[in-house]
This record gives sequence, C-alpha cells and structure tokens, in this order.
Amino acid sequence: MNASSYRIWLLASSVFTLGIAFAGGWLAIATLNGAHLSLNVNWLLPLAGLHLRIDPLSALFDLLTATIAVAAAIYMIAYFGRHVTTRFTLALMPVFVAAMLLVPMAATYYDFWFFWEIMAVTSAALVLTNYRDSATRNAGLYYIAYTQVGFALILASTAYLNAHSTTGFLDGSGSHLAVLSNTVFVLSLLGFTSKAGLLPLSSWLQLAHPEAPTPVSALMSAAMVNIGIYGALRIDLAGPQQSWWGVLMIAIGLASALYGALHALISSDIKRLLAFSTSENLGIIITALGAYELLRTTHFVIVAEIALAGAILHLIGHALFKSLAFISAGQLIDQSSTRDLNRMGNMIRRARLASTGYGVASLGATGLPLGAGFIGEWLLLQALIHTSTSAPILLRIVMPIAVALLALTVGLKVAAMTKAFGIGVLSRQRVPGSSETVRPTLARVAGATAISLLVLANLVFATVPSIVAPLYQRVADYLVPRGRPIDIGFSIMFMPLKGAISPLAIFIEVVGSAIVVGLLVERHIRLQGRIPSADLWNCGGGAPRIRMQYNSASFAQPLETIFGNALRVQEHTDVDHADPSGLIVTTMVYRRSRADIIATTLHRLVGAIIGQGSSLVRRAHPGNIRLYILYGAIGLLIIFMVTR
Amino acid sequence: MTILLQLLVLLFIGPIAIGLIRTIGARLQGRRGASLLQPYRHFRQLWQKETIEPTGASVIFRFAPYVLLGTSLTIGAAGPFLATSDGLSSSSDLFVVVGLLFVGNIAMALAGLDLGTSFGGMGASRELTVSSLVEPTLLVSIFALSIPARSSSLDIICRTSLLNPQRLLTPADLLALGAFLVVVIAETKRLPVDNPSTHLELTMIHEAMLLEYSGPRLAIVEWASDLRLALLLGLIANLFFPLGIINHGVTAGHLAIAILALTAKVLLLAALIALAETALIKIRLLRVPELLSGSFILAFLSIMISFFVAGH
Repeated sequence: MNASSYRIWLLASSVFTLGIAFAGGWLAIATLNGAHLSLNVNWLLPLAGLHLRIDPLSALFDLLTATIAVAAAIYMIAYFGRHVTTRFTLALMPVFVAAMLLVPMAATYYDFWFFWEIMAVTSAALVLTNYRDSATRNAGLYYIAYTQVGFALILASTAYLNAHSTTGFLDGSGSHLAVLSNTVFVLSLLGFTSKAGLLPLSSWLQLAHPEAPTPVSALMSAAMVNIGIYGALRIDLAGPQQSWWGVLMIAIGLASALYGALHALISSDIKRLLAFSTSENLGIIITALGAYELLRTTHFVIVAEIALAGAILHLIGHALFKSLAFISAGQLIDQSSTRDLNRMGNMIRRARLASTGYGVASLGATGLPLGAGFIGEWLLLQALIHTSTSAPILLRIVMPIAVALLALTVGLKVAAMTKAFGIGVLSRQRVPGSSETVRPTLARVAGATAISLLVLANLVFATVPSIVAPLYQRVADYLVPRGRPIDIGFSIMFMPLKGAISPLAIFIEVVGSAIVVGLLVERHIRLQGRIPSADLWNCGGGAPRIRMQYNSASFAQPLETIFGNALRVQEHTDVDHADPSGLIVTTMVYRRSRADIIATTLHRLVGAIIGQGSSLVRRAHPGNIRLYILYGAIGLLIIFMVTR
Repeated sequence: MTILLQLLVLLFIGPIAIGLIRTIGARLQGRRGASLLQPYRHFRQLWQKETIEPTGASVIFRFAPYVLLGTSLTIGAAGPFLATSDGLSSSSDLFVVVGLLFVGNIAMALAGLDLGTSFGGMGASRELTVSSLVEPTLLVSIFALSIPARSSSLDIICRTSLLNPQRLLTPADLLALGAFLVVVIAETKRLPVDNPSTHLELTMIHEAMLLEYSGPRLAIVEWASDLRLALLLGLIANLFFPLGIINHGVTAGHLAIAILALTAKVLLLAALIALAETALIKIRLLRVPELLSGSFILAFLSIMISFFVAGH
C-alpha cells in the first residue's frame, strides 16, 4: 500500500470514527433532553432481531464513549500517521467505537450479547495490531482468554435471566429482577468487573493496555472499562436487593483500588502505570456503587444517592483524565521513543504541550483538589462518613474500614503519579540523542488538537462540575426516582445532611493567591538585577552525572520496602569472589523480583484444575472400543431423558 | 475582613512558633539560643539576597514555592481559626484541607525532582513516602472527629464542640487527638520523623528538596512551611479545644480575645513540641510507618468507640 492511499485510508477511518462518535453523542444528548428513541428491526440479527433503545442510563455511557472517541479519532491521525499499520486495523477503529456505543443501547439480551462480543473481538484484534512482537502476542492471548471467560460468565448468568424474564431487557427498569439470585449476581458481577479491569479477573489489563496502539489504549482504558460498570448498573443494581452484595462490591472495589495503586507505584512503564491506575479508579467507582447498594438495602436513601453521585462523577472524571493521560503519554512516548520512565526525562522542554496534558491528567488521577478526580472521591468519602451511630452494625464496621483503605489508596496513588510526572517529564534528559523526527503538519496539528480539547475538558470539569449536573440529574432521576438531596452547582452541597464544597472557589483561591504572590516575588527578583545561573550542588564533587538522579525504582523504593509483603518482593545478591578466602569481590549482581500475587495464584489455580480435569478425561480414554460404545449409549440415554 | 486578619495572624504566628521551638530547645540543651524573632530576620536577609537559578530549572521549580504558599494561604483563609462560619465555608471541608496540604507537598516534591539531583530526588521520595502514609491517618482521625458533628466541615465540627463541651476529653476524642498529634509531627517534618535542624543527607527529608533554592524564593518556601506548622497546630487547638473562637457576631473585643486565644494555644503546642523533641531521637525512615500505623490504630479505635460504645 503506497503512502498516499494509506493517508486516505487513515483520514477516512478517522472521519468515519468521528462521525459515529458524533452520532452516538447526539443520540445521547437528545435522550437526555427527553426524547424517547428506539429502533426495532426484526429481520436484521439472527435469533431475536435488532432492538435498540436509549434511556438516560445508556445516554450517560454513550455520551462518555462518544466524548473519548472524538478525542481518540483526532489523535489516531497523529498516531497512525507515525506508526504505519494495516488497513484492517484502520477499518476496525470505527467498528470498535460503534460496538461500544451500541452495547448500552441494546434493548434485548440477545443484542446485548451480540454487541458485547463484537466489542470484545474488535478490541482483541486491535490489541494484536503489532502481533509480530512477542510481548504483544502474549498480551493479546491473555486478553482474549480473560475477555472470553468474562463473557462466558455474563452469558451464563444473563441467559438464566433471559429465560425467566417475560419482558425485554430495557423494557422498564428492574422488570427482569424478580429472579436475580445470588449465583446470577455473583457470576454476572465477576463478568462485568473483569471487563472493568477489577480483581480478581484483571490481569489482562496491565498486559493489554501497554501493548495496544495508544488510541486503542485510550479508548479501552477510558471508555471500554466503563461498559463493565454499565453492565453492573443495568443488571446487578437495578433494584435494592441484599446488603452483602454491596459489601462484596466494596470488597472487590477496595482490593482493586489498593492493588492498582500499589502496582502503579512500582511500574516504570508509563502505559502500564496508567493501566494500573485505571484498575484503581474503576475500583473506586465500584466501591461507590457497592456503598450505594449497601446503603439502599439498609434504607439510608439519601446517603445512598450521595454514593451514586460519587460513582457517576468519578466515572466522568476518570474518563476525562485517563483519555488525556493516555493520549499525552502517547505523544511523550513518540518523542522519547521509549515507554520506560527511566529513559525519559526533561520532556517538559522536548514536548511542552504533551507534558502539560500529562500534568493535568496526573493531577486528576491523584484525586486531589484542583484535579478532575477530586469531586467524585469527595462525594464517595462523604457517603462513607455520613454513617449514623444508630446504623446497623454492618455499616458501622464496613464504612470506617472503607474510609481507611480508600485513604491509603489515595496516598499511594499520589506517590505513583508524582513519580510518573517527576521522573518521566521533569528531571534531566537521561538518554541522549533521541531528537524530534520531522512529522507531517497534519499529524502534529491532530495531536495538539486532541490534547488541547481534553485539557480544556478536564479543567472545566474540575472547576465547574455543574456543567454535568443536568446529565447527573437525569441519570439519578432514572435510577432513584425520589428526592434529590444533592445540588451540583457552583458549589456541591447536599441538603438534609451537612457538607459543601465549591471547586471553583478553591481553584480561584489557590491559583489566585499563588499567582499574586508569584508575581510580587518574581518582580522583586527581577528588580534586583540579572539572575545568575549556577551549577547544581553536589557536595563539592563536580558536576552531577545523569545516572546520579533518582529513577523510578529508587523513588518508589521506600514504599516498596514498606509494602514488601503485599508485593512479594524478593531480593538476591550474587557475589563472585576472585580468591578462595572470599575477600576480593569480582562481580556483584543484585536482582529484585516482584510477583503479581493475584495473577500467579489465579493462573496456578486454574492450571491445576485444568490439569486435574484433563487427567480424569485421559483416564476415561483407555482405547477400548466397547467402552466408547457404552459412552455413546449413556449419552443417548441422557438426551432422551432430557428431551422427553 | 476577619479572613484577612486571620491570615495575617497565622502568617505571623508561624515564624514565632518556630522561633519558640528553637529557643526552648536551645535552653533545654544548655545553650542560650537566638531570639524569638530570629525567623523574621532570616526572612529579611533572604529577601534581600540575590536569587541564583540552578542550571536546568524548569517552570515547575520556579513556581512550586508559590503553589506551596497558595495552598497554605487557602487553608488559612478557609479554616476556623478565629471565627467559625465566617470563613470561606465552601472550602473549609476537612478533606479539602488534607488534599491541599498534599498538593503543596507534591509541588515541592516535583521541584525536588525537576533538577535531577540525587538530593532532590531523595527528598522528594522520602517526603511522599511519609505523606502518603500520613494521609490515611489524617483522614481516619477526621472521620473520628466528624462522627459527633455529622459533617466533615471544619466550621461545623468546631461549632458542635463549642455547643457540647462535655464531648471533649471523652476517650474517643483523646484517641483522635493522639493520632492527630503524631500526624502533625510527621506532616510538619519534626523529630522523630525528620530532623529539621540538620543538613545531613542521611536524615534529611524536607530540607533535601530545598537545597537549590536561594534568595526570596527560599524565603517563600520557609515562610510557607512555618505557616503550615501554625495551621496544623491551630487546627489541633481549635478542633479539640475550641475555646475563644468567635461563633457569631464579630466585634473588636471578640476579635482581640480570639487572636489572643489562638496565639496562646498555638505557642503552647509549639512549646510542647519543643519539649518532646528534646526527649526524642530521630527514627529510621523505614521505622516511620510503625509510628504512623500506631497512630492510625489510635484513630481507628476512636471511631470504633464512637460507633459502638453507648453514650455517643
């Protein structure tokens, strides 16, 4: 394929993806404005036909997907312009986006499974874009295995629901729930949380996201994981059921959040770090949804709605800052030609806009004030601390533990994000050379546009969250059709309970005072005369060498040692001696390994079960033809009994 | 008006508190020590010195001191130090306060990493190690405080304890106070977590990040750190002993009483820190988590008492 035809394919794919995203976004906005949109084509799909409908809950997820898809579609011109790929990959991009938009619109279980599987298959094919690389093949294999196990769980549980439901899937919320049993809940929750990248079925996430092309990682990590949350909200949380379901969700969420934050802290691959951060933030969202379920079932309806607001606002915030993080990380990776934080450095001068974007996204990912992740986490914390002293004992035990673990997560993720920005973007340039290659103008403009749009969206959401208030209000009215205790305006407050913050006021106070003081002091410094420049201080030992600076591993070392048990850190020092008495050391090799406990345990367990099972099967195959005929007879008997 | 006064008072108490800690420390060691006003003289001296810009400094290095000061000023303006409810109540939420303290820490840690020196990186790494472990304790002790008030707003917590003084000095409150004290010591980087009076690479946390700062920018960083000490001591003072704080109706007389009360309480706490620092030695960095998890358990116990013991 020659260059000009490739460019036409690339542009066509981008424009097509943009068109699909705009169409999806427009449908979502129309629904939020009160339109009732549905589509029924009986002959189009096998078994059940094509039935689509959008309600406010679908609209929320479609709008998020559409927003991320717009940015990703613009960015893909920059990315695939540089990393030439196949037509097949380019053609898959719009299909992937369309599938993600159609899953929340599916009105029957059949359509839901169909689009879910299209989403899974296209994303798997996109992860495998660079299939010639063995790491990518490995990641793709894991992803396919996990996503299909997840789908099998969802299929098994929802097929049961489908068989027992008289009405369709989207026809009236909660109509399918009379039969939602414990088994169905646990299985479907496992399936959905696996798509959302939560424990225990999350090992695909940290493998697949780094290996996928960056526009795909951005879509997967900011939009596709949300679809897992959509499934949980639509099917598992349609009505208040049992308190222990909420506790289970909180447990899964907090475990994933802590696990993600801890592993993000020790990752030195910038995309892997962001993938772990996705796991952690989705953990916080499912914790909020668990709190919502737990509080609803114990009849603390007002606090439950605060938890729901926390989940929805964190969902929006996460989608915004994570897409920005992946896209600007993609630019940083292209600029430095490495994904390793330890080989970057001084990106703030080499790629100014991407560094700014990455900084804004990191601040959002820390969940601190001024960032896009703060409002959702604040609401969740408010829901957790507003447990009254007369609440059931379950709440009084679960809530303090949740606050404590959430706080630990926040501490760890702040360290992780500071590390990523400080080591990768700031610092001195570690690997010399890797200079800017000349890129076509269109690609540069596309990259800059995508980042600028998302930076703007992040800043607006972080300071004036009231712009999503109508969206939240529609979704909340749909899910909990009673009072509305939360008022999201310039300040966020809830009425019967006490509590309020104003992100805009905080932003103005902090930024305003910093700028005023900064201007005064810098003016004073300028008035004193020329600012002399001096070498860095190095205890009088000459100019500090590049390798002396802290890197990703040394930065995280104290926390890694402190959490050594959880990370299974193992250290080995091999020493070779030149003389038999062992006094003169020739070489010394220090090795440190860390195990991913969840993945290794899970894989070992599954491996053992499969091994046991297959040895049983092998024993039943002695090569005796009469035995095989007997098997056939028994099988036939069973069929007759079942179909009788 | 009250906000500005409150900010000014805190800005002036901070350096005096540091001066007092140093003076008392010196006396206890048998030295005479500098005067209480030495920190101010130090600021004046730094303010007049020229600024030297290290090679390779980026925007982050230049502006981190102002972010540190900006976050501290916001907390100082919003919190209930002289009066409740008159502050910028929409940002006096305790989670916001903790978050802003953390933002200041991040700004300084990034400035430490910016130049790529080993000292800066070491300081930044240690600073974040300590503060990411401080955060859980701080949030859990806040939770403990917010249970009786049913809110995480500083103003409401203060007002609740003003209205029910018998709530103070209950076991739950005392445990939360203990946890809070440890947290404040770790957050302000005092002994036994950090030794602020040395420049020895083995022990440094906070100072290691500031090595490349000079002149007025260094003055800003140091003043902001002093302000943070005053803020945290002021929070202890007003959340656990809210006497003297103006609840409603601001008059000149009330203001004078409130200013005196705040100053007295903060300086008393500073004196206690000085006494404790004389008796304590610095512990290894990797032992700090033990101290912090101890205080974390105190805070957790405090919540459990509030939730499970009758009479609350």
